[in-house]
Amino acid sequence: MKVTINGAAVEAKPGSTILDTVREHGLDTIPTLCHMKDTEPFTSCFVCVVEVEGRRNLAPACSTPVSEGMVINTNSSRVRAARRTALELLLSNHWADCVSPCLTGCPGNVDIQGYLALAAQGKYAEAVELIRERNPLPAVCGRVCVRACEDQCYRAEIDECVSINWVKRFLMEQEGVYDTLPPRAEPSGRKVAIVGSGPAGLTAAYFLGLWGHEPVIIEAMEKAGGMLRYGIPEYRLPDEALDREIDFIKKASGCEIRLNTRVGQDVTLAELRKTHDAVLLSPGAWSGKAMRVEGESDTVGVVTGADFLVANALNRSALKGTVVVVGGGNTAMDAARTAWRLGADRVIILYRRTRLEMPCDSLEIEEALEEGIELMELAAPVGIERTSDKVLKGLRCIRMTLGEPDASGRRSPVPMDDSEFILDCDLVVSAIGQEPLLTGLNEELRVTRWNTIDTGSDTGVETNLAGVFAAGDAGYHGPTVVIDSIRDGRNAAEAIHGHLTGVRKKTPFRASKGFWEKPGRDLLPEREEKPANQQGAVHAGQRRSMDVEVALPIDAAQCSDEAARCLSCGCVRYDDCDLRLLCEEYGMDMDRFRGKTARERVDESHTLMVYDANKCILCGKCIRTCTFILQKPALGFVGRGFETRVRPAMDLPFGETDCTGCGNCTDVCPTAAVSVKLPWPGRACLHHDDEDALCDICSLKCPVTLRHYSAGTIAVGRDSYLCPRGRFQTPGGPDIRVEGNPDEADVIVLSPGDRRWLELEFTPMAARVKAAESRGVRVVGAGSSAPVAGRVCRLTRK
Amino acid sequence: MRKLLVGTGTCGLSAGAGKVIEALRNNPGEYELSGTGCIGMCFVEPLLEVRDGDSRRIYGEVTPEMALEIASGADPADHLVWSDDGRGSHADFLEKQDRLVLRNCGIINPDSMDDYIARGGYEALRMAREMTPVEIIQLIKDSGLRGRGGAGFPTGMKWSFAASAAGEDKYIICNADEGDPGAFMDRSIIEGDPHAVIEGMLIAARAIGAANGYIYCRAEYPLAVKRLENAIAQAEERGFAQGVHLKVKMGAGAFVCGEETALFRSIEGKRGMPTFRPPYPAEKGLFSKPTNNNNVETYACVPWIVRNGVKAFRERGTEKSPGTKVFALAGKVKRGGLAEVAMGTPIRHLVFGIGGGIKKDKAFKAVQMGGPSGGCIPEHLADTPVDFESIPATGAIMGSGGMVVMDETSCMVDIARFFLSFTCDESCGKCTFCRVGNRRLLETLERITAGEGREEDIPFLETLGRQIIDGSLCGLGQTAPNPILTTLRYFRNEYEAHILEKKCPAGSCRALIKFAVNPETCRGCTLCAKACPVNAVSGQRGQVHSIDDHKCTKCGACYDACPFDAIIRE
Repeated sequence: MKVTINGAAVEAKPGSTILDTVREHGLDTIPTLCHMKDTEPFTSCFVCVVEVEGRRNLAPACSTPVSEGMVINTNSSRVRAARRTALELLLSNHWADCVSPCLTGCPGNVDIQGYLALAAQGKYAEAVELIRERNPLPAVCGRVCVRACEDQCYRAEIDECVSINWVKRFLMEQEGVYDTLPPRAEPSGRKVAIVGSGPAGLTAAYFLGLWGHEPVIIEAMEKAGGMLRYGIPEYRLPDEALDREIDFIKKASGCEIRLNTRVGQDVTLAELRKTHDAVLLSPGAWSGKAMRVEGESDTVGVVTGADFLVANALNRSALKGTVVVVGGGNTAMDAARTAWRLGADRVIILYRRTRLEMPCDSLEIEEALEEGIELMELAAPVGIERTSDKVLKGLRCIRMTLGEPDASGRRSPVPMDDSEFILDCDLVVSAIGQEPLLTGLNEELRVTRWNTIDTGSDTGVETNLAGVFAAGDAGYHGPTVVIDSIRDGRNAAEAIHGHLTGVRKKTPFRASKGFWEKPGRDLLPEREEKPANQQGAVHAGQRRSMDVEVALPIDAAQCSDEAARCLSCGCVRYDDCDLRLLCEEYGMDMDRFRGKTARERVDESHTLMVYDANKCILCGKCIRTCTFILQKPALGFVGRGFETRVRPAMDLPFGETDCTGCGNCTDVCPTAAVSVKLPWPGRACLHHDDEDALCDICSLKCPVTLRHYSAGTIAVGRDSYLCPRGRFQTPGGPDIRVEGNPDEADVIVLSPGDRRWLELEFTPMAARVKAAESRGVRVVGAGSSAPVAGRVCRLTRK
Repeated sequence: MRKLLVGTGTCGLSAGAGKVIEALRNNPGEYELSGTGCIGMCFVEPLLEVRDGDSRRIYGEVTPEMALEIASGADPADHLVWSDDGRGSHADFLEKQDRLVLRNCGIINPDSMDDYIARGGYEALRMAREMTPVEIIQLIKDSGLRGRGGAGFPTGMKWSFAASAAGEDKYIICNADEGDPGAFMDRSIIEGDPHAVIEGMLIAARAIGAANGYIYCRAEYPLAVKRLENAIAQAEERGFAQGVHLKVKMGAGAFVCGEETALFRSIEGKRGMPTFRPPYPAEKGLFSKPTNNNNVETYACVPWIVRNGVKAFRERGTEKSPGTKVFALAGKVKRGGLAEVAMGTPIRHLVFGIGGGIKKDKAFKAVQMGGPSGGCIPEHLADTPVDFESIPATGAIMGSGGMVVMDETSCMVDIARFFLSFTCDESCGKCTFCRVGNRRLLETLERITAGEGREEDIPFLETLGRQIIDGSLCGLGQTAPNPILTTLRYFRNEYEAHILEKKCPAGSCRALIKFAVNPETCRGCTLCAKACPVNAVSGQRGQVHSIDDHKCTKCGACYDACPFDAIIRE
């Protein structure tokens, strides 16, 4: 039979479908979400639609038979639009998190769920490796990160958010985490100059180096680290910890750091552009903002926070008397606490709003107060009292009150009439903000009105100069936190890599429950309330030294306890979810069909599997597989219309059905609606090496793929159906072959094609229960436990 | 001897016919008493017919007391709805019809096989058994009979496919899963004349060579099920079945099970979910065997055609759509009920001629044909003849015969919303476009009728509606957007008024209307205040009343209560 597919005339077998024919001739990869090889076409997803000449409607390729002279188009714009709509519709009722909310919340997009899982498994080195895939400065972040991830943690609905950052800090204290270098790509021979060795520059250098390029960091100061070294005081981030990170980055990426080299002075941007294939500008924001009170620039005893911190990082000088720090951000806290450590008798933080509005980490305020630092709320400087020879005597201040909320949502401070007072002091540190110093760079470089480098948007990295990129505090958004700079550094590295190789990375598609509504406690997994493990701190009385690190890391027991508190919100099938990959390919407009979604609690009642109805796209593959294997399928459709669900009959929990626990449904599920309960702590989509093998449990020798994770191995079907033993007792597991009463023996029935009935000596029920229990499998009631209930399996062999 | 017949179809029973027949039974007199099926005049049930020799009189809205009086000779003229001498307030209702399928409905006792045989029943089967299967099929082909379930596929051709399909075990199915809101033709035919359906099926079984058959009837039709089972038993007892085993299979009321492939799955004991065609039922239907599936009305036509011949059948209707069609008239029409007319009769004849026009003489706006799969045909197209060519040209479908009449107070957006909410509930949930797409359409319509419509909604409805038609497996999904698309085609201005002006021109969408008192016409009678369930109307007797907008729930009770039309709805 002759048919024409995408202009090519091919021979088709009569009775075969369009999909069969296209696949047989390798003409296109028609996507489908509901089609299976062993059962009749189901025709429900309508993702496989194609255009058939002469037909008004599109035809589902999976079930439309070919006919003589048929002219088929499998990739027209109409076809693609229909597929896209089908995917968008499926997705509009897919209340699921492809990745965990903490990952999305982290500017660096670190796979937090993944490293918590590895931490729970005690795989510390692997956990750190995973962090470094996005963030080469985990020991820094483990100490100073603002923890946007924890703000997103669903666990807070139950008790408290997971102490993600303390786990990270703990991991970085473990032996060997600086020993193994990640693999590096073949050298590309392309050079990239990076101006500044702060977090943005270091991050960009790390990734560019790993991807085969030659990064060179141009650093003005005598040591590398930028604001990490000169802005963050040592009692929060010891030099030693920072040095370890920088050494690792240098070794891993092969980057060179040219110290004491200032752009604009020792080398020009033009020269860098000439000698390198790309330039990244990440010089940071080193200039303190003015308080705009008279005399601040020429009074002895008035300095900016940035200057104060940098000066003391270079060369500590003892203080005495009263120090007033103006501002409420992290720099203000760092300056105040540094002043106290350097010997100041009294340290006052002056802030124009109240403690609640202070932008710094609340932990910082608590610790500062513990140290005896005073907080003066609702007051602002208006003038400087000084001697005739311009030496500071005191700070003239005014009381404030809170008025209407401003654009940031915070109530704006309003001065109170006749409330001026003078604060006698010996040093004023104004820490009300910083900005970049862009002098000495190319005059053609476009800057914003905030004196930052114009990259178009907060997450943009390309400047107006070809091959010149920008990141970090000097970037579009201006001064920000470390993890934002790490994000910028990574973005810049990706953009530069794209610029150098022409390979642009596709933005991954990720659905998120938060797009509709985050789950409340009623929709989260049931967990007992359990407070978070918190880091300890050195007693305030022992902190009066710059060299005493205040925070004390959690211990191994706390770490595994904390990692186990993770609810594992992100999808275990992120890497190979058919729906997600198709959405990525076809490009989704989530808003188009925004509407009601079904929302259900995940069913964890089954011993071996997890059923998440929210992810189900009703392709029916699990049901068909189950029906094919069991005479009495454990799953079926219930409800009608939009409320249709795949559920066990009579709406029983999955764990209380006739399921034999063969788990073949997990192999066919295109998403992770039904997935294997991993037999180790920590549930996440983690790296695995796959190995093709033959199951050696019985003489059938079914093809399996052994999926090796760092915590262990599971088996998945390789174009085959597996029995419960084959899937969940992978080779190398205990051999439980015991002779028993033949009446109680399992029978394996071969498909009709193979006309032998093969009775195998299989373990009687009781022995299997015992063996299963010894593996740590919870066995619940006769007949309900998956690993022991599989009395009869029907298997097909080709 | 005088004969009294009480209409004891479901429609009659729900109007009180049970009490009427009971009263008569308890007071036996000089008459023979019998129940009968629905004669179609559902608007004046309960009905009592008196047959005296050759004369026939039908009384409507009969109470048990009145029935006893009539039984003892009274002739209450104001309750006489029809008589064979042309008297009666609704005499024209039956005269304007051409009752071929309904030939026995309301005439015979449906539980009596003798009644059926007395009117020529099972004669056609006898004739068919003297013909070869090929001859029967040729006869049906020649008659031009087309499937009355809605799609209008030529019945003879369908039979020939099943007849020529390879395989010994063949099935014959009667689809009695009537599910359209407002449709009750099939129920009335079964309740009024079950043997006609059985006879039609037995003829079809002979034509295609089937030995087994099912009548798939919804469980909500208990009377129909009872009468069918009774009729099957009688036919078997008298030897008419001749080895053909018919069984009634009750459906649980899923609308989608009216779709033939879903219907087969349901009979097989599986979830009623449609499957892709091909393979077609003739080749692989019930239990994967060659199967012929027709609708109740189609089967009921068959014995008539066999007995009266092709020519008589073709004298009715049009060239391409011969014969008659039964319609269930419902909605804002004065005489709602069952009416059978020749194909090609204009819609207007059904609405005004038989239906007697619009209730309260309001303005006729549209008819909705084909139930949730169909569409709305506006008043200006009311001269469209009902047949398989003309109706689809309007964007609606023939459907199985439901005809819902709408007047000026019917909001077309709300009508579309109503039908779509039905299909959303009744979708089997299999196909992405039907399951999720229709839901999104419904959400959009709900927003529009709630006054939260957006300008982009109309193109959204049209685009997605067409994609749903394109991307659904079965008739339910492929037609679900029809009510939206046809109302958009003919009543686009109503959508625009809802979206742009936040007004419901028909005054029906609660979120968009407001009630007020017209001070010119209000007489202060206090009826509106008494009718208001939430005390939103206030005013002294004799003074102009007023309505508190904040309290008003827009139920319209005041509007209906006011005898002076002083309540304004805007």
